Amino acid sequence: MDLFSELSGQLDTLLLGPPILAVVVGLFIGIIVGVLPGLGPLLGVTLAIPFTFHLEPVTGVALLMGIYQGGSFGGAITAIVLGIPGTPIAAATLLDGRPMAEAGRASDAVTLATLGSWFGGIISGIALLLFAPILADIALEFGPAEIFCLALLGLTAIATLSEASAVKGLFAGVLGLLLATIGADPYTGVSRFNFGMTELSGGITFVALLVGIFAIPEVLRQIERHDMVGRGTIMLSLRWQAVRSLATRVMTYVRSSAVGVTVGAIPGIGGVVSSFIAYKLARDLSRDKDRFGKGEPDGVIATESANSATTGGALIPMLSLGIPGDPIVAVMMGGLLVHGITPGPLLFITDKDVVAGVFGMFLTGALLLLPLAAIMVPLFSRVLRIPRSLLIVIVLLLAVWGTFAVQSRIFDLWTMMIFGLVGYFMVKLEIPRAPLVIGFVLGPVLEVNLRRMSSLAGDAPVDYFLGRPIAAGILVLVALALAYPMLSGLLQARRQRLADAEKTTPQ
Amino acid sequence: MARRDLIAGLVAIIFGAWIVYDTFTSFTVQVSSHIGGGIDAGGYPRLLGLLSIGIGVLLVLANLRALAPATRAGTGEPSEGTESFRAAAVAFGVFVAYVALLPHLGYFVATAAVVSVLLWLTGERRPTVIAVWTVAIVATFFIAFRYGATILLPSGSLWRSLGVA
Repeated sequence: MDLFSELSGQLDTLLLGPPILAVVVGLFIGIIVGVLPGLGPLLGVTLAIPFTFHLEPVTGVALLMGIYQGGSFGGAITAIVLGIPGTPIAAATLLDGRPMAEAGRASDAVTLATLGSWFGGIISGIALLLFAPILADIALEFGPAEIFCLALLGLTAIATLSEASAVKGLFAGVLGLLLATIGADPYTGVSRFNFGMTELSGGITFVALLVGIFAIPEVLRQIERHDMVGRGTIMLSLRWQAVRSLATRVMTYVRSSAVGVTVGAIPGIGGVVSSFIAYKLARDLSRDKDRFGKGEPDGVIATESANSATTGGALIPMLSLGIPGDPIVAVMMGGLLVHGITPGPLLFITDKDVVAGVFGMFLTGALLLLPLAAIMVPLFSRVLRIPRSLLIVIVLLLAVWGTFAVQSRIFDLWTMMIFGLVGYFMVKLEIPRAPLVIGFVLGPVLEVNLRRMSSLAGDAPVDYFLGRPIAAGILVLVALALAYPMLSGLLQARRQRLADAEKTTPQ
Repeated sequence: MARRDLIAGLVAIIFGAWIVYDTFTSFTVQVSSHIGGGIDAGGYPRLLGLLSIGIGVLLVLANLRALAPATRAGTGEPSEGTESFRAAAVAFGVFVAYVALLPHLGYFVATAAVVSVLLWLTGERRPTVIAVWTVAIVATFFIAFRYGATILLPSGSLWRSLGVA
């Protein structure tokens, strides 16, 4: 209950001060980057990180959360209006949102998507408030073995479950862990991999790595596509008649939001999967399954409620365990670390004001999404007409000057360029980039706890693990996360063989 | 796909091998096994280097098999459009030149040049539009970073040496 009293004590500061302004600005930016295909909330949060360094921690996180929440919603508009998901998590919204738009009901579809995102955000905010402190309480009992295993689980889950190639995901994760070792050894202070450069003695600047890995390849890909013309002429507005769906289709909102929170809290799965699970659930439980895929409102509500609820869900393990649930949350965690705030169970004791502020601002952002969307939706057709060439230039300059702003060093710009090239080739070789960032964030946690664990276990590591059932249990989950892609591959191959055999069997 | 995986595998092996080699040759300070539980400063990255090699070997082995039929049939993967790659390479060259020239030319000249070149590279051909956007972008970013974020932007060593700045 301490946290609730902390939150109510801070309400004045949060709601009348800079944090609420940061949330509104974040939502505004987030919706725009979500709407514009090729940008998305990950790039938005990445480019905004340098600007948070000059803000108070809660205000900075409020800005990032606003972008995360707004960006998760914005992609739906592009999916409905243009038939292109503005962000990957809006892919499922396309299934029924686009047919609604084609039938002249684009405004209805956008209203349902807005309501779904709003509802899902609020539910996930409540879940965050209720479950994160409980999880943090449990995690206080954890020792180095449990923390090491949890970090390992977070990394392997994201590397193996989130993208097509699990092995390449693992490679990216290992690369991130290795990049985190650049600089001083946490135990002895010995300099590692600094190539004689004093600038590297403190390690790689997080923002330079982040911006290089995500923003520069995005700019290069946009240039490659020759897709420079703005599009979209459709006029949109929110239809208040659709608000009735909150009463008539309430179960779809609630069920899909619950799916979103649950899936979001599991590291590595994320909004894309949660929205497809919610969509399938809505279709399977519907009396009229045939209407799905042809403009069924429940399809839009389910996907948007779920992917929006994933945002709060993903914050639960990050805040309470220090394990980010998805790449955007990993970036936000990096932002907190730069402020000297280490997410994890101790945060709920040492920085209770920050935790209360984050919870308060997440809920505020979720609540403000609806009125802000009502103002912004009619402007979307103009946003979609912004020339792509202009966007490319703006993203590049934000990347360069955002990185420079951290330490005012040209060296960081070179670091960013090198990682830009690395990120570009990772895209070309289809190596997922998110595990690299998560590996970089979790690297110090893994190393320090591995070495502590090694000290404690001495010559009997098996006995040590047998004496710590939670750590052993998490290790089993790590093994399952590693085995899952292999097993699903085998199953897929078996199904393919059976299908081929059926085809070749004479009638 | 298989070719990309093969390249990724080779990269992982070479990178991992270099890390392992470097942990043996570069970390001259040997640390007592009582600190860090027997894992010294090089031990953890060495472990990761070995993991990288293992992952690389997995990728190479899996894709050597996958490559074989395509090679026999003479049907490799379609190559990426060289024209689009060239556009990206030119753009990256412009970015690198921008970072290299920034300390010498300063924020205003270097940024104005890169904005104009990028607008032109991305298809804008109207000189007036390029000029207007360039001035607007350079001014907006200057105000945002110099006065909003209170960052001192590079003034340019060239102008300083000429006594202009």
